[in-house]
Amino acid sequence: MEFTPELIKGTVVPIVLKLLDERPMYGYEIIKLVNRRTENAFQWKEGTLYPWLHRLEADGLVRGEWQVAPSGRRRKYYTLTRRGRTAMVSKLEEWRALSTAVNTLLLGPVTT
Amino acid sequence: MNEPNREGILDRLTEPLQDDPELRLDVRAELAAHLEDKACELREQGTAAEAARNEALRALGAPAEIGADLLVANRPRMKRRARIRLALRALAVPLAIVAALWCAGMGQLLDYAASVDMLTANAMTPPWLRRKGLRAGPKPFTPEQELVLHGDRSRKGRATQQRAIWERWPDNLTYLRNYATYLLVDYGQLGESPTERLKKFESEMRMAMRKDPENARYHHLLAAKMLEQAAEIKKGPTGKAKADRRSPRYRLEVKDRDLLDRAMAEFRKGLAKPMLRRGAAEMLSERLRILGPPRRRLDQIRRIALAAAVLLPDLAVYRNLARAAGPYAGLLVAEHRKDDAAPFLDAWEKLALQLNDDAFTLIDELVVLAVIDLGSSQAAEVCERAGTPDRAEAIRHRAEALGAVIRDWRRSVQDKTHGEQLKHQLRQHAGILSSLLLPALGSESLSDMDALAPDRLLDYTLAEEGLAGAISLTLLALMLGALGAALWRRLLDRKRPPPLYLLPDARSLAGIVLFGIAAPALVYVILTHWTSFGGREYSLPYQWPRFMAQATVLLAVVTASCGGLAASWARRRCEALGLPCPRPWPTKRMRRVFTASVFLLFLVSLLPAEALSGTEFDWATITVVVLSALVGVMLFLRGAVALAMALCAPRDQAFYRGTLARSLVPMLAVAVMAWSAVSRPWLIRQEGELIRRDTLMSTPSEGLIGFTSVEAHLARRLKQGVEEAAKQLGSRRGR
Repeated sequence: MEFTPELIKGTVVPIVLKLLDERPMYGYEIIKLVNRRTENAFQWKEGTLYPWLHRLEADGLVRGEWQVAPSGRRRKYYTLTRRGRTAMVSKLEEWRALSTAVNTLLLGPVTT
Repeated sequence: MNEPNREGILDRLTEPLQDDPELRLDVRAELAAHLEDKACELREQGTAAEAARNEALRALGAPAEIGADLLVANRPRMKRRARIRLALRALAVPLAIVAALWCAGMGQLLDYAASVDMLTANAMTPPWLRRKGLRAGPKPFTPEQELVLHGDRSRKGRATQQRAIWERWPDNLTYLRNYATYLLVDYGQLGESPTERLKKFESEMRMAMRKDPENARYHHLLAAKMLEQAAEIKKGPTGKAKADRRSPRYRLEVKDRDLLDRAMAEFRKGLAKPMLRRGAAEMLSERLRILGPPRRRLDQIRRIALAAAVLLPDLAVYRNLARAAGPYAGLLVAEHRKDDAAPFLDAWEKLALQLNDDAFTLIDELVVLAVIDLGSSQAAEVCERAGTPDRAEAIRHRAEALGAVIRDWRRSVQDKTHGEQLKHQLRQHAGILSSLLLPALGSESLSDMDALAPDRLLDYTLAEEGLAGAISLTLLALMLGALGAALWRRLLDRKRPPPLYLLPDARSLAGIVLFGIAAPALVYVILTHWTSFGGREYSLPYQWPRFMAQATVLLAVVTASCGGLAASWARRRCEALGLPCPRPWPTKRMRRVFTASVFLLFLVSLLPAEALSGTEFDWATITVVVLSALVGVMLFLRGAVALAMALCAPRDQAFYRGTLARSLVPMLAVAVMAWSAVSRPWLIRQEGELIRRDTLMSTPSEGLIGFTSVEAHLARRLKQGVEEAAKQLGSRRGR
């Protein structure tokens, strides 16, 4: 199933923040993880992730840091900041409330 | 898709970010790493290399769309970074220069120069510096305070300058007495001929007598100047007796008998006055009050110098009057005018007591003793010649008793055994200023060894101020070297894109401040101030090798840490941005030699006091000197080689070297500012605290006035001793 870009856009921030809450990750790792966990339901254009990451970095929600991986490759790892963690909690609450409301509206029993 | 295409796509992707070349490279490197990861994974899944690269590029998305998104996402960041970069480029270098010069105490050097001017009235000093001279605190002096401190400097001649103070406050007798002092100093300027000078002087003295009628001083000064013209005081043959050697005989060669009689009559009038006041102590006290309490060593030295520079020109006057009184009495006896001679046979005692009453320095007390010894021996001799040996004996007895306390003190100072012991103790435990001043005061000045601590520690603090200045100037030199190299590279490589100006991030700056500045400073303070390894219970001249080792270690650690941390940050950043970085220099082995030398020097600085006394040039001292020189040379060479590498970099390294040099400037500027901000205020506070605690070298308080507190106490004891002896002898002063 393919999602509309507008719908995906609204989910990027909570998803990235939630994943980074688990551990510091680099961009490609985030994409791989999203694809694996959603069983490729989200067909993100890979390049679109980086502007989002940079926005979050500019807002102080994540911090990017170059590190050398054990393989010898140099990658930019993103870590959730304290502000980012607060934002993540708030985004998840927001999402929960929205999805409940939308579910009720779209999938719940019809009442008059 | 082949490699050039990949590079072209990455260029197009990041083109919108071209206003921030560092950010562009950063994003480019991130996207390149992404493409590499993706292609690698595809290769592992069996895709051919070329196809994997193409698939990675395709999966990334449309370059134009992503480039636009990247610009939107990064625009706020780019704006903020541009503002920071602009601020750093405009402010970092000037602020660092100001901070380093401030930390190096350049302002204080000017103050020192101004103080010298104040003390020497050196006309060579530029006027702006001279005006800076006596600025004691944050507030400038009021015109009235300026007048009291210096007189009216627009006038010619010191006496007329000082007269201006009294003219401004004509009822103040201290200012009148101060004017009389300078009149005596400038006596030679009063007129062309001796008669003219005496006439002018007499006129001023008569005026002063009317204004200050109880004061004997003006009569004595006038008498002395008349005496100078009326007769010559010649030294007679010295007897073999100890007392004679102490006080040689004098005779008068009369040139103008009438004037001599007038002079001695004036002297008698002075002796009949109830008091003698020179006003020196009161004037000094007032000037010190205007200057306020000292907060820095410079203030302390200024105050000591001000006290030491108090003019006491009349001391020679009183000595001459004491010398002349006896021979004049002899002259009168020879003329069968015994009754007229009698007052001059007691003159020495009255004069000595008048002087003692106004004494406040050790010099005053020594002059009191000179008057007692000189005057009494002349008078006793006249009595013997006049056939009254009993009276001669009585005079000698009174003189012996009156001057006993001063003589005893002088003997104790001249005692070689005690003197050597004192000098040894002072060499080991006293500050430099105490070592210079205390030996002349004798061992009683040092009743409490703990009292030496503030002045001793002050030497270390001042040395540390010098060290802090040296470190800030070394960091500044590194920064200016980097700046010079960056400018040179820009000049050489005008046709190529300019090297990057890497924006230091907060963590790197915090790392430099924390590990390059705060941590070494804290370890130094803990080790030297709070443990016995610092050797602070011994004087700096005694333990100079230890201080040299500590200072070199701190300088080496701070400089190498700040330079090293900044350089390794810039290198890491260049590597992250994908710039080709040449092999680092110095090599690991060279770094090890440097670290080992610094560590060895640190270990030597922990040796016990005896091993590190700078009195002997033993193995420990030699080790300190050699290792310090070695560390210094290595630091210098490291800086020089880095500079040479930046200046003469080959074409393939030019961009990296230029980027390194440009990017080190803000980092080192922050290091200079942080070091200055950490070290200087703490040291100044420490200096003020030690000066407040110093009870030896401070200018006296508790109603005392004088050179230093310790001298003022001693002078007061001697003064009280003479007063006590006079009371027991039933001496009478004045009428």
